[in-house]
Amino acid sequence: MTITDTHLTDPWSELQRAGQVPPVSEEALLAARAAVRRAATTETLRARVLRVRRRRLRRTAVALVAAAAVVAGGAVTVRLGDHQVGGTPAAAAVFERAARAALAEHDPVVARGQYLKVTLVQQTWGASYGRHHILTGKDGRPATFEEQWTRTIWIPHDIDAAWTFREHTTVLRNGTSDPSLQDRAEPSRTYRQASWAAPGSPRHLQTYDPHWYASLPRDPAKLLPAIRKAIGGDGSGAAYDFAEIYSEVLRSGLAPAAVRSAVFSALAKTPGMVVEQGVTTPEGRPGMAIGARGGHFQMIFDATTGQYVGERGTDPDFPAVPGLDADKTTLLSSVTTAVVGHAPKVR
Amino acid sequence: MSDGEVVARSVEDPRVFEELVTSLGPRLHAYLARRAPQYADDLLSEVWLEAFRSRQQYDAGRGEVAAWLFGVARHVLIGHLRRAGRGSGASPAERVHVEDWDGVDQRLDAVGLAPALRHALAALPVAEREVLLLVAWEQLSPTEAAAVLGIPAGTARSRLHRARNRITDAWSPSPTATRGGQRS
Repeated sequence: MTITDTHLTDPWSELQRAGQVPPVSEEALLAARAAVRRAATTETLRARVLRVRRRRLRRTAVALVAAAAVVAGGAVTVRLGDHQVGGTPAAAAVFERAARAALAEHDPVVARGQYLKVTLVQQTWGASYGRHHILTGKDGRPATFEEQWTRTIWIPHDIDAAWTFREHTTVLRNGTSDPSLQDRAEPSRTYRQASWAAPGSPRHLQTYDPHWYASLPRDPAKLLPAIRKAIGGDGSGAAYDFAEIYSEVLRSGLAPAAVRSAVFSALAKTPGMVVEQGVTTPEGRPGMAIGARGGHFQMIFDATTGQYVGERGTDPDFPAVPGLDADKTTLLSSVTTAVVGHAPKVR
Repeated sequence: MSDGEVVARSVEDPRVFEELVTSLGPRLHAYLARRAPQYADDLLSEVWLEAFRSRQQYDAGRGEVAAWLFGVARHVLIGHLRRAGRGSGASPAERVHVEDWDGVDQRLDAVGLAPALRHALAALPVAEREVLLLVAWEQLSPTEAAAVLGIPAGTARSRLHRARNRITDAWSPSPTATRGGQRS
């Protein structure tokens, strides 16, 4: 073939023509979006703890400034004694019962070669976001979805050694029938990470550290302030502390029974707690929920055994989903623990 | 909100990062499909996860988000080719360039690129070819291609200039020359 007998135009156009490839498949693009969404969800969960720590630092700074102001101005403070007032009798009764139930539980003993398996299941409503708002499918419905995220941790006998994690997500339902915006399940992912309990580790979290739990006072009157001081808080009040701090202790699955019991005893004396009856636990059993008045987060207790079983929440900023109530639960989670003989292999 | 603002906002609100997949995913997939067609779908998720994890390192002063993402894609692709090329006997750098080009060359053959042009591309220094293809195929400016490759913009321009001259020369031989194997 000679240069003079072709119909080709110029090398640049020819090169660009050769660079044409079939468009990306919808499946590949959805898989990439789902991978990013999963990573974002995981990071958000972790950031929640870190945010609490940052807030603690800010609150400490504010407290120092306030203390300085008191000294300088010679102000007189009046102690209102909130924590002596106690919650509503119904809430106090539920918490006290949960405290007794926790005391009756045995802390798991992990022998050499065994693992403590901690399974956190969170069922949440989420959405796909566009530049300024939640995307809408071709059917005109918002691109919302309900999914169940499960994270299992295998913690070895030597708690400072690497931990094994497994995450997977299943989609329970999509708000839109538009396949391009639907959430999709992700395959299970198993990986190893440095211990979250090892002091000095960048991944260290107090709520996963047995030594931290051992250092806490058992006196209910001193326990909640000690937890607030250690984990942090933004100083905005009981609703925040309840949803962001005490719940973190219970959600980890590593708090010893004595600590859980003391937390419930202390919460029984905390003002502003209200009970909601007729709740269903994540496992479908009759339950009761307690939350701070005006808050959007509740702890759930088994109505039969009185045991703490998980938490639930609503999101006032979440858009109304057609067919669902405005106060729809957008978060439902539970944690369970077991001692097992094996952890999954990580390739 | 610009792509750069989306990346910045995603540091505090990770959920918004996903929208970049919708807007820029097709371009990144095309980049991968041109170089490793059989792995493009799998690598696309890997690229976006890597971009998500490293989004705090994005520096708007060094280029547009698209250029940064192509840099991430290139990094992921190189890692993939290195893994795939283990045991070939070549050094890691050699394996990357050889196998990167092998994939591209096979595809160019399949789509019927004029042999003279194909051979001219094969004869280009790797560094020049990489700039040329980023500009010709990914529609990047020389400055953006420089950001992808981590080289000065002037260097990218001069490489592009030389590469274009070489393929133009290959395309416009003397009147008696032929295209294809005889000329190359």
